[in-house]
Amino acid sequence: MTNLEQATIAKAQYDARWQRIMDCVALKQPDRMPTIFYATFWLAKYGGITYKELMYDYEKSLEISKKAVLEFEPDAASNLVARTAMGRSMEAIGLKTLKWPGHGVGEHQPYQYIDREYMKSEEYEEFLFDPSDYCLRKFLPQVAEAFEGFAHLPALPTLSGLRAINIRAFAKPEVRASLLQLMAAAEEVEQMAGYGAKFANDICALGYPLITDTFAGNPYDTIADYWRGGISTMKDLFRHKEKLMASVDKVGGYMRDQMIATAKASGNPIVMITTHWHADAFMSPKQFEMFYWPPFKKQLMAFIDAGLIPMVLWEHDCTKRMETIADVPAGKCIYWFERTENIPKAQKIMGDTVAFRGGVEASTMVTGKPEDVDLAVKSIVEKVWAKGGNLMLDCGIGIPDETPVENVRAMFDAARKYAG
Amino acid sequence: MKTFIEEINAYEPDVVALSGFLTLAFDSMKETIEAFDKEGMRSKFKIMIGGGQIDEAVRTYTSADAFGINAVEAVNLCKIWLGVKS
Ligand code: B12
Repeated sequence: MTNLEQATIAKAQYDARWQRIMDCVALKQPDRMPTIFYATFWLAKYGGITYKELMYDYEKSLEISKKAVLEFEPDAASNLVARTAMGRSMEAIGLKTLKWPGHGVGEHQPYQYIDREYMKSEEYEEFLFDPSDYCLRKFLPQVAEAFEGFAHLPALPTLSGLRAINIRAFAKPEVRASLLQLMAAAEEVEQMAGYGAKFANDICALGYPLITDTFAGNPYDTIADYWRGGISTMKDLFRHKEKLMASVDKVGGYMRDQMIATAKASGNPIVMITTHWHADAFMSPKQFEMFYWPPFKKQLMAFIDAGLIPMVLWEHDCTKRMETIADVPAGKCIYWFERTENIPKAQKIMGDTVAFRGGVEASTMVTGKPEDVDLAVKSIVEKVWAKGGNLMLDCGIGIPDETPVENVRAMFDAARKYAG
Repeated sequence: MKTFIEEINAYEPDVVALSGFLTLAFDSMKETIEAFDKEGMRSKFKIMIGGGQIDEAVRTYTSADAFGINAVEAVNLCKIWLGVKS
């Protein structure tokens, strides 16, 4: 086959695969149930290297990721390289809030986030007064070494003035060190992004689209995960209601504009959004309707109005959230449910409104045999796809790290066996 | 595992509860419960497990006595096992 013929075939395959995803979003069942491939440290297991190597060795990460896509032939894949090979970048920036393989945890162990009250409850006022200033001089210096020097800067609005020479702080060794470290770290991030782009281009040339190129958070969780911490935010639901709501709203505004710009620049309309502290176990339905959903829905609507397709990963158990989250325009969103048991229920409530992603429980993938995985796929096909549900098959959130390789094969084989 | 065994021997509880948030915990829960077996202490207490990724499949895999989906269930399981009327 000539290169041109090969490219023509790959282009046709790419188009057919992408069309399946778009058909699901538009609530028209395609010719077969699409599959999506997403994994993080599982790739190390698959490629026979350590988690640390996967995070630090761009070439190996690229090679293994491409091999996985070619073996499992999904209809779309996550940017496996950009989502794993982050070790050098995080080291360069001196990230303090996360332990990663070979950096705080063993070379064969997954991440460990350090959940703390990075913003104290007394600091809400300061944050609300000027979020950017608070972020620059108080919050970021706690997050990474490269930002530490910023704690020595004066408030930025005081830098202007007739002669604009109030810049002495920039001569301080701490500030200079930060600026230098940041520039070097950003170069490393560029390098990593280059490998991510190479992965995307390479699989595209082989006929496989990326499912998304933009990862977004959501307003409530940004405050809960990274600023106040999970437990403090739960207390704030009772003790600092107004300030919490005002902060969520504030941060939501920044995020919306930034994420829309990022997604538009990427050329891929799908925006991945994770969710964390919304779950049945973490707040009451009333609290969900008051604190979490309104700012989140605002974000979803802004994305939709900008021509983007929000792909929400509803983590944890969301049984009690169904009626509320069904309230989005039809044919515009993908809802990815971590809990397989949530999908048939969602199919009944919002099968005519959103497309679904997911279908195989992490526990089945990790503890089951290939036969169990095959049965799990058969079961979700019967309960959702066969009933007209626009399901794209994946696990709860990608392939769990500890999954035996034969179970992943069983999952992708079963999709073709039972759903076209 | 050693710490678990030492503490259990010192405290002699009726119930041992293991919590794990990640799939990573499945094997360590399984190994911990196997270690109780080896030490011949498995029949002296009940074992419950829980955490965001734990379900019946994991309960079977680890051979724990029960799993619970939240803190209230943990209390209810204890009540049942200890014959406490609510
Ligand atoms: C909040 C959250 C985060 C937050 C912060 C978490 C924190 N505070 O440390 C942030 C945003 C930082 C985060 C980051 C990531 N996360 Co996260 N995260 C979550 C989420 C939504 C909740 C975890 C949590 O803190 N829960 C709080 C505890 C108290 O809740 P719980 O475990 O459900 O426990 C309740 C019950 O289960 C029960 N229970 C608990 N123990 C016990 C014990 C007994 C005996 C009983 C009876 C009951 C019981 O009672 C509790 C109260 O109701 C989960 C989703 C999930 N399904 O769990 C994912 C999850 C833990 N994250 C996940 C992942 C993959 C990540 C990332 C690696 C993503 C990435 N690629 O970057 C990173 C790094 C994670 C890390 N290891 O540090 C995966 C882990 C996959 C796995 N291997 O198992 C999960 C499971 C999501 C998923 N389905 O994939 N995450």
